[in-house]
Amino acid sequence: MTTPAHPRPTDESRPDGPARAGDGPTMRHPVELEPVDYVISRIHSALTLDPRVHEQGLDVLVSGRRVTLRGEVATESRRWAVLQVAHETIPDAELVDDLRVLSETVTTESEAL
Amino acid sequence: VNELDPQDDGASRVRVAAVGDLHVGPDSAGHLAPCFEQLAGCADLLLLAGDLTRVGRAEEAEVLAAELASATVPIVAVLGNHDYHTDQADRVAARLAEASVQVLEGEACVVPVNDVRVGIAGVKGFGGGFAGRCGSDFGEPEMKAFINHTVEVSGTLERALAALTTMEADIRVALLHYAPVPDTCRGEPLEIFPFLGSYLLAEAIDRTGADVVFHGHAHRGNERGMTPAGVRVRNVAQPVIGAPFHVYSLPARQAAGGRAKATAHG
Repeated sequence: MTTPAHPRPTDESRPDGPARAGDGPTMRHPVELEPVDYVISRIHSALTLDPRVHEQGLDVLVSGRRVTLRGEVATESRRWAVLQVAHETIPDAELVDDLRVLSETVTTESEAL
Repeated sequence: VNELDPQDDGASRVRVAAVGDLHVGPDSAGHLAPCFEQLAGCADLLLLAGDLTRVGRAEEAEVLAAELASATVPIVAVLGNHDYHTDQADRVAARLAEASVQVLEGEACVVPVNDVRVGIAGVKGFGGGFAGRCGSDFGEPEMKAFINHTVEVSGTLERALAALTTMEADIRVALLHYAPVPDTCRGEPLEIFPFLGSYLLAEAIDRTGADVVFHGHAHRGNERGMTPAGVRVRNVAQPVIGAPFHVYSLPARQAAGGRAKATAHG
C-alpha cells in the first residue's frame, strides 16, 4: 500500500538526529536522480541509527522515486516510526509500505527433533 | 511434562520453546505476556536467543521482565548485539536475572525437567563469516580484533558445552544469537553473511557435541539447518518463525547413564 502524505518533519522532531550518510552542505538531488545504492544506504543508515526505530532487518527497494520498505516489525507503532524516519530521510520519494507486524498467534504444535 | 513418543522407543522428551529477536521496547508492553502465558500448556522451558531489546536499555529489559512474568516455565537467555548497543548490557542481564531469567554468556546451566537434566550452553557469538568466505586474524588491528572476538567467544562456547558433560546433562543445547552455519541465513543478502555469524561457532559445537543449536539474528534467513557434523540448527528469530515462539520436542539421550529413560508423565 502507498502511504498517505506524511507531515514534513522539523529538526525538533528528531532531537538526537539520525546519522545521515548524505548530510552536508551539498544540495541533494531528487531521489530519482541519485544513484540507487546511495539512496538505499542512506535509508538503511537512518533506520539503523535513528533512536525511534533502530531497525536493521528491513529491505529497501528503490525504483525511480518509488521506495518500498519490506520486512517484519514488532509492533504497529514501530511500523509507523519506520515510515516516518524513511520519509524524513527521503521526503521527495513515494513510499510504499510493504511492512508486516509480527504475528502474536501462538502455535502450540512442536517439531520432534 | 514429558511425553512418550511411540517412535522414540520410550525416551523421555522435553518440550523446548525458543525465540530470538523479540526487540522489546516500550511499545511492546502487553503484546507478549498473553503469548508467554500459553507456554505452560505446550512447553517445559523457554529459551531466548538474543536481541531481547531494541537497543539494550534497562527500561526495555524492565518491559520484557514484566511480559515474561506471565510465563510459568524456566527461562534461559543469551543477549544479542542490540542488547549491547547502549552499553547497558550488564543492567539488562541483571534486570532479567531479577525476573528469574538465567542469562548466559559463555556459561552453562542445567534445568531439571522432571527426571531429565536439560543442559544449556549459551553465548552471544559474533560474526566473521563461514568456511571459505570468512575474515582472518590478519592485517589491521581492527580486523584482528573483530576476528579474535569470534575466536574468543567460540572458545567459551566450547568450554561451556564441555561443562555440560561434567554436569551430567541428558540433553545438550547450544543457545546463541549469531548463526553458526550459513544454512539458516539463506534468504539474507550474501554480502552480509560475515556479519550474521561464524563457522567457528559450528566448529566449537561439532568438537564437543550438542543435540541442537538455537540462534537468531538472521531475520531473513530460514529456520532449519545443520552443522557439518550433523547437529541440527534452528534459526528462531521471530521474523523467521513468524510466531512468538516455536516448540521443539527433544529426546533425552540414552547415553547419559540411563537416568533419562525414565517415566513418562501424562
